[in-house]
Amino acid sequence: MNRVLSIAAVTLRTAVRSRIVVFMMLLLVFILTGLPSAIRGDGTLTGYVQVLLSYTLGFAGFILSVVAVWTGCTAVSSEIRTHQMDLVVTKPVPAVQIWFGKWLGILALSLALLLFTFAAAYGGLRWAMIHRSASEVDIQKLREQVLVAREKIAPRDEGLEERAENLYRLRQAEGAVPEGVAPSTARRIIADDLRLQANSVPPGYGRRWIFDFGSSVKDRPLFLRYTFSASRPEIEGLWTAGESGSRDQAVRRVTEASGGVRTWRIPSAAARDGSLTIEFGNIHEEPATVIFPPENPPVLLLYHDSFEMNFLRVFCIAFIRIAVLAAIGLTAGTLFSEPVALFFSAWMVLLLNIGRYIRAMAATDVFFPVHDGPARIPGLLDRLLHLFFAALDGLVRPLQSPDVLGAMAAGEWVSWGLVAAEFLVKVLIFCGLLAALSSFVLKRREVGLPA
Amino acid sequence: MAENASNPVIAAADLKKVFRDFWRRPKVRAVDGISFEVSRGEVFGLLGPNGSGKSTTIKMLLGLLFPTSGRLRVLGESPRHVKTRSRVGYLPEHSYIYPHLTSEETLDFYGRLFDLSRRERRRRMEQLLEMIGLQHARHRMVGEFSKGMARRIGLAQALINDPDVVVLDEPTSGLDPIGCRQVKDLILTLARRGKTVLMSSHLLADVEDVCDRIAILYNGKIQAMGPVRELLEEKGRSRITLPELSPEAMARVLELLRKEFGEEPELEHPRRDLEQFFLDVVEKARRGTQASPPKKEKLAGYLEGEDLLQKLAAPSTTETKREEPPPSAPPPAARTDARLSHLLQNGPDNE
Repeated sequence: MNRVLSIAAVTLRTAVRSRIVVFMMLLLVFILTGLPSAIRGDGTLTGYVQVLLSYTLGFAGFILSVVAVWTGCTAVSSEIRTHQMDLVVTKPVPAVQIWFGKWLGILALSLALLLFTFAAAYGGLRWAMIHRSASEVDIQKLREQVLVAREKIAPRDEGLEERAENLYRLRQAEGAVPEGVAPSTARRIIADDLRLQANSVPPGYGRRWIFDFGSSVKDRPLFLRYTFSASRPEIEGLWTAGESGSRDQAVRRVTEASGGVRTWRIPSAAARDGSLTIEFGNIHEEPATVIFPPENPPVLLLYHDSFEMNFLRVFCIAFIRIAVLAAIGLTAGTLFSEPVALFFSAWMVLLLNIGRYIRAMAATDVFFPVHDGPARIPGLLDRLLHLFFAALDGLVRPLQSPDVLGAMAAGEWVSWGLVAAEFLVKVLIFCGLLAALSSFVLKRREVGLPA
Repeated sequence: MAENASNPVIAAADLKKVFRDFWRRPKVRAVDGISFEVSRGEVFGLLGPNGSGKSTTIKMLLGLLFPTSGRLRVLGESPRHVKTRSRVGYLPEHSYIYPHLTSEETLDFYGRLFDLSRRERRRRMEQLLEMIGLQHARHRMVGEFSKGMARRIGLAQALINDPDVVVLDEPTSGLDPIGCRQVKDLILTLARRGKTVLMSSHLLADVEDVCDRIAILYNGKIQAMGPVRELLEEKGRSRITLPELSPEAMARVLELLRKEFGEEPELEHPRRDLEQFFLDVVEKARRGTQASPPKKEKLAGYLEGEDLLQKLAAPSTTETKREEPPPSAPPPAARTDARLSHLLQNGPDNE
């Protein structure tokens, strides 16, 4: 351990004395102060805080990720190139200790910078709450919807998958599934169709969701968050929450524009016995179907925890993400020469940032359709591309973090369970595997080769 | 091969190193089947022009490069073995020290890599800084050092673990003559303590001063190898060094030699070597400018060893390997001296 800590200390000391830290702190101050002013929010205090928490911290986090990858890459590859590593590997230090020492050094540096960033952001938030003028409504909205950790409850599963499967079997038995269409494609088409039907509300009809939350609502208001689209710019609807006919039932008649995210504040009294039924009625006079996007259904938000605890958990996840990137950079630096390592790491960062596009591509069966229509048949190239993106998705998905900054800015609860899962999968398993791979390679690498 | 007192400390047999390109095609045959052994307490020199394979050989000895074929053992183990590395000290050709660390931090860091206790690190650091004359620069960043200072701190890190095998790549490169002399004295002292020293150098005079044996490499092969004295000895010629003689005595000696060998002997006054002359001049100048005698650079205590403290109580800064008494049979030069004495007493006719 003594050796690991000494290598970590030297890595950290070198970074600090080469003035990286000072430069990074200045850059972070610039981002933390400049970005909230540069990005135009909705003019409210809530908007300002949300920009600070999502965009500003997100950009600062991106900069710190780049620093972690870059420092990781150069920590080994640059030392091999300049032969500083010669004097380390000729000492009785196992390769795995060198890797861990370097990694810990980078983590210590990243931790200091991340602490600085989050502390500055929190300070900025508190400063804005004191010095920025805001209405009472705005302040209440900020306290209830942003500076809070609310658990997100999805509506009860309506067994659509099972219905889709049954319908697929029926259609297959009827011979209605066209020949050549992959079963997965046919199932997906049927399921999509069912979901769309379930979330479409024609004029004069309604849609019901049941939310089960089990726990107490703690006498705090609940919030329904939803979005919809319609063929008309504005839709008139009737929302009800709670037992029908009960005096605690919350009712809200709205005329709302299509698109955009809406929130309905529901008194806690409407919720009973750990569940809440919410209904929407399409009462628009002119015929217009309302569609709630199946991939983004209404959710119920319940108070769970304080903002500060959420802030702390988001900090932990941000640090875990940086730790993973530092490990990737360090491993690349061990495996490859400096320029190749930097190139490889840049690609990895890019892949992690476009993970959702990769996921979408992996879910695509036909990239080059021969003809249009629901029953497109994949060719050889389609299959190869599908395999490629599926493999890429398999590689990238475990490393992707949920958008915790966005969640925090929306006042959503980030659980300790998520922090623990991130730590287990990314730090213990993934970084452990990278450490094993790096030490295997470093032990077998001729570090004394002429540059 | 387990380590044994009689076994060589370094053993290389038919060692080859071929550098390959990206496609694994052979590019350069840097070392081409060399074999040598170095015993405990021996100072072994690797010589050769640039590109002859010296540094490649040294890097293979340290596990920085892997042999393409052949057998290499250091202290009876593979050079890549962690246990072996704990007993080896290495001074590279260029001082690859972290530039953002101070002298103290540098020695402390390398000491920690050997898992030395804090107290032991502190003790050795103090002694090494005193030995290399960098006490005044203990808090200065190594990156600000001159080449000579960087070499000194590099040497100190190579000795922090009191190694059994010291590998020195161009140890006197970048040092002034005083520093060169100190390094050479240090090498000799280490060898007397039973340490094995393997060094490479372009400065042939340095090698001649300290090495017991040398190997001359060219094109990756050993072209000549053996004890320095044997390799350099001109077998058919002798040199006699005498005190200042009167003209008459000189004439008689020359006459005797003429009669004995049948040819005219060459007569010249011996010259001091330039290094010694330089050191004398500097010492004299220093005495003239300083009121008190200068502090003598001394060897780090832990490197001297407890059992040798007496022997090394007053180490001469001008001693060389040549002044050591021969271990067994008198060397050819000693036999010649005896014969000359006999000649002078009896004359050639009386023999």
